[in-house]
Amino acid sequence: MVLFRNTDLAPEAPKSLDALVAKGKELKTAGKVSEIMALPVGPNGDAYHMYPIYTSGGGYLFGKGPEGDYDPKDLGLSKPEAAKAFEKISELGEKGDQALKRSISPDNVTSIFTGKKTAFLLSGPWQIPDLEKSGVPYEITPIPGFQGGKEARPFVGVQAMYVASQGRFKSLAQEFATNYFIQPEVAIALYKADRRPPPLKAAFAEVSKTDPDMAKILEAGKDGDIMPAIPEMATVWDPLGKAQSATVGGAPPGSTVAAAAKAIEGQIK
Amino acid sequence: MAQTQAPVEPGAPSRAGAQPPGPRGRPGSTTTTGMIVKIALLGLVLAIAIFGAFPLVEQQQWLGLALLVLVTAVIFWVYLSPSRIPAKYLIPGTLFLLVFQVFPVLYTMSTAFTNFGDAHRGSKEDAIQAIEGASIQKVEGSTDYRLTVATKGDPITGDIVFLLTDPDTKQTQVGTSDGLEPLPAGGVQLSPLGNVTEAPGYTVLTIGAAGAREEDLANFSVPTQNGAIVAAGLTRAFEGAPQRAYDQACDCIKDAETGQTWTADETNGLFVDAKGENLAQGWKVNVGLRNFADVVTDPLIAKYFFRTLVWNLAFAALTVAGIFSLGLLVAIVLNHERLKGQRIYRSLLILPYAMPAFAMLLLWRDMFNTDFGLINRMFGTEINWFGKPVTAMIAVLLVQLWMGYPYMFLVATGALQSIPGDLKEAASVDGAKPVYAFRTIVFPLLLVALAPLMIASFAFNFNNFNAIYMVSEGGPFPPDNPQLGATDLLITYTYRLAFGAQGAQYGFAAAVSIFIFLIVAVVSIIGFRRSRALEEVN
Repeated sequence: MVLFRNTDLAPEAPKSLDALVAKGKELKTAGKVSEIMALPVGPNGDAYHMYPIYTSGGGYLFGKGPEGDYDPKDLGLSKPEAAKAFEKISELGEKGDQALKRSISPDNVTSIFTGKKTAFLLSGPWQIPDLEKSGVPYEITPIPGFQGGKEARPFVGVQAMYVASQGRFKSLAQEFATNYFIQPEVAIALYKADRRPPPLKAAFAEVSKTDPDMAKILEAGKDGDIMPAIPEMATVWDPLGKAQSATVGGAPPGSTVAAAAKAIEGQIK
Repeated sequence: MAQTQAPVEPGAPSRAGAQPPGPRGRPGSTTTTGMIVKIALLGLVLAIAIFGAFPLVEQQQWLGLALLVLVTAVIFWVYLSPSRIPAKYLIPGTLFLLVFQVFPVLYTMSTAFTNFGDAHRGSKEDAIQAIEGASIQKVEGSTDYRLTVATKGDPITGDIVFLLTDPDTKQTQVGTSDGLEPLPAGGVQLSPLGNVTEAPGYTVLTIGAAGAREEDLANFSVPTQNGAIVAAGLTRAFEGAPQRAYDQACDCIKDAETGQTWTADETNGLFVDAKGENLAQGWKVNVGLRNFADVVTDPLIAKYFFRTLVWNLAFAALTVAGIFSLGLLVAIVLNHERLKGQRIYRSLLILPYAMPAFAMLLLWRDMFNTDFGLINRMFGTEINWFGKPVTAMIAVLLVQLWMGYPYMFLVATGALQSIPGDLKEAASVDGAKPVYAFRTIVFPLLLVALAPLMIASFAFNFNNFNAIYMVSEGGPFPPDNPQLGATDLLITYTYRLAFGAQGAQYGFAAAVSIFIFLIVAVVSIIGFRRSRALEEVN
């Protein structure tokens, strides 16, 4: 995830989330924008998009083992840091700064930015084709953290290919996955279809020559957290998103995150 | 049907006793058009049967094949005989009932007694294969071979062999199911990357031919001292050994490196170790009534299940009541003889019914958006429609009212026009007020026609998945149960269980489906019994 900034409305990149919110409020009072920032929440929440704010507020999802892999036993949501992070989310929410709103959902978040209703869009590289089409002058910078808080760590994900265990022509599929999918031509073709940075270094170097945004996206994801691929992660998305949405709506942060943690722990068992 | 053009069949007199009494001449189709249509339709049935027979034979599904042959035989037997009229009318409906209702219900019931779902999808053999296959590690220091798949002899029936090349030394070897042998270099051609392209005595398989031998290829490996040489695709191979292996003696999986053991737990279909942790791959087992018991006893589910059931019944009832009232009101208003422009009004009022429901539901969802939606903008309100349970329920019911009333309007118009006018005249002559006349004369007659439709509408709205899922997604969720929201119907809850992000639990979802089926069946039976009493009024 990165911060897309309308360079006409906000020429300078904000150094912290607080500065971002302040700039957004300033533009709102001046009547230039109607929303402080566009981060999709929706009535059921979006844990993926909220993650940088959650980590900057001090929370974490799963503890990391010695080799860096995630430990499902160590659920960060039941720790006091998570409550503090949720307090920060609540401050930004509808009962606070009104920077986070439940009425902004993945359906309308792009049009809010391309319609110039806001100067800041917190989303991912998949938005680039729409932004280019709209003609809004934008710049990509890493998502800033809270002033005095931890750094904001977005999720980093890689698109990969799995060969199904019950497939009819597994050897052929394995041949494609192991020996063809990894070729630079394929990576560049995928980039052309969907503008995300290719993970293959040779392909990345090739596309960076014509696309300056790619390097900026890589920079923004430098300190990100690898999206946990453990099976327990599937039980986290839904309750966490709903808890975050409720907090944005004004529910008490401490009890909301505790209830979500309990629901997730019950599912993980 | 014209009977006079029939050629008299020689066997007709002997079957005279079997003919039912009735019109003169023989029953059964006797016109040429009728015969042609019959031949065409029976031919179509035969064609479909043959079309379906080939894949069944290929997959060796003898039970399915026998069923197909039986059904086709019955259809031919019934339709080719001149009598058996009731069967001729009943067969199509019965066939579709069996295929689309009875079979899915039985299949769902059988699934409800298992724990089919994520981590329990296949058989125990599948799980063991997956565990062993995923634990294959490359042997330290072994070479990365370039592979060519070939057969000894005929590409379709010959034994599979691996022609392996060491990319550094360009030395070639043959790998069979007995082990590695050196391949004499004479006559052997290599590609630039090192793959063998030609070898005397062996047929190199093309990609298509290799795909055809997939079954043998998947299970093939070349045993070596430290493990086996397995293929990584079709052009590379490596020497690997599985870390985890299944031991039949103790019915457990043993990890060679760490020494950990996971024993098979047949009640849950998982491999569990001493600490109670299980491996990710499990298998499907029969769990008996556990799913049904969970629905009623699990505290988290039971806490909200009853509330969801009540809301489900209320939603269906209120929707039907609402669309019936509004539809009937509009029908009565537009039924007046002296109203001008009836056609225009009717066309406009039918519009919600003509619009594609899916698109309209999404549109309504966006109209209820708190900050950007049309409803709040138009009325200047700040109501968070989907944030509170009550407002979410009202929103969902409003949408259903808008979408459903044209149907009731159409049906009520038809029913109103079928009521004889002299009844209403007689009532007014007798001095009855319009409302009283309506309540005592018109309304009961309407109900006779509309009651079955209202029951059907109730059953439909009881399971109206789109109405809830597309509009409110189940509505505001309490923090301690993110799976069951305030506007959730039982069917949306089942869908979330089966296909939600939390991983599929098909067995449990099937059990909830059975509950829904029983509830709707009971309500429908009661409804139909009561409506039969209405018919005696007429």
